Amino acid sequence: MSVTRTSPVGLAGEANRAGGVAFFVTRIVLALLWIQNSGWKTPPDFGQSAEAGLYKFTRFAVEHEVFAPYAFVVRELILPNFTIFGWFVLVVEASLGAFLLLGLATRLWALVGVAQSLAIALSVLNAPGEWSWAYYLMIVAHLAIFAAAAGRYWGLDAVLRPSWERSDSRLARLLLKAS
Amino acid sequence: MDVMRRAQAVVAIVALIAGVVSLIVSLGLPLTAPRGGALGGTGITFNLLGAALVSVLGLIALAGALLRRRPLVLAAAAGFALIAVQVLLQFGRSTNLLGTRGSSLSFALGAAAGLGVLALWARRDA
Repeated sequence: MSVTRTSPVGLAGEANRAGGVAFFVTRIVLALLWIQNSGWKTPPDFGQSAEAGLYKFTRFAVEHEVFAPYAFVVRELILPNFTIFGWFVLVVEASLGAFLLLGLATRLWALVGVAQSLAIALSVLNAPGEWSWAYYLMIVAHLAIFAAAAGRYWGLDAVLRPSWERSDSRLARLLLKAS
Repeated sequence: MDVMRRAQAVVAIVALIAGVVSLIVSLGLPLTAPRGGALGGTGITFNLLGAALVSVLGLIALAGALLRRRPLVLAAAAGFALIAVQVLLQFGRSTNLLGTRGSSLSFALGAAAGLGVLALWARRDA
């Protein structure tokens, strides 16, 4: 009878590979989340005239307050300038989808994802029918790909970092930090 | 094939697949339908014209990667950037020549940035 033994080094290698696959999959799923959800932020008024879409969900921050200072900012600053805010959200979420899918400047975009998930949570956490854990999971998943620098697993960060390390340009140094 | 060109080829192939699948799901729609066929559950939409354009740009990028022709990759990146601009100008309006929406913006932005940065850094490396 033959017994196959796996060395401790082999086990560590397998764990690293499994971890890499998990971070890659997490990054791609988060990218698809943002890609799909940038589809319903519809200009030019982002739901303001019909009190639907992005406008409706943004108003939840005031109607079902989660955090008083955030509700104040939404009421006094965001809702009166809603079209500008709508374009900002569309561009940020579309960029999140694009850059997380590529694995380019992943750590920077993971932090943007944390901030955006937090903003969404502060808007809708207390709204009827919302499952609060969805937003906690979004925040934690972005923190995980930030901590793991997930673009280094089958992402463009992995391809480009050696070139950035060889370069002494300011842009390359910035991209190294962002990846 | 070096790692930069392989990465260019991967991005090009993903774009090409997205274009071809969009062509298939848009069959039967008018050429410039304001709302294109959906690419699975991703939310990405293109009408026939948009899908054909994405397919052609994907092919150009793939040819550039395989034949070591960086200008072709850059041209494809510029084409995808123009699609992103089209989304910003026409998404949510009655005239939407490529049948796009916000998810299509994300896709086009990714293809433009990915191909563009790979081609530009390959040149800097050289």
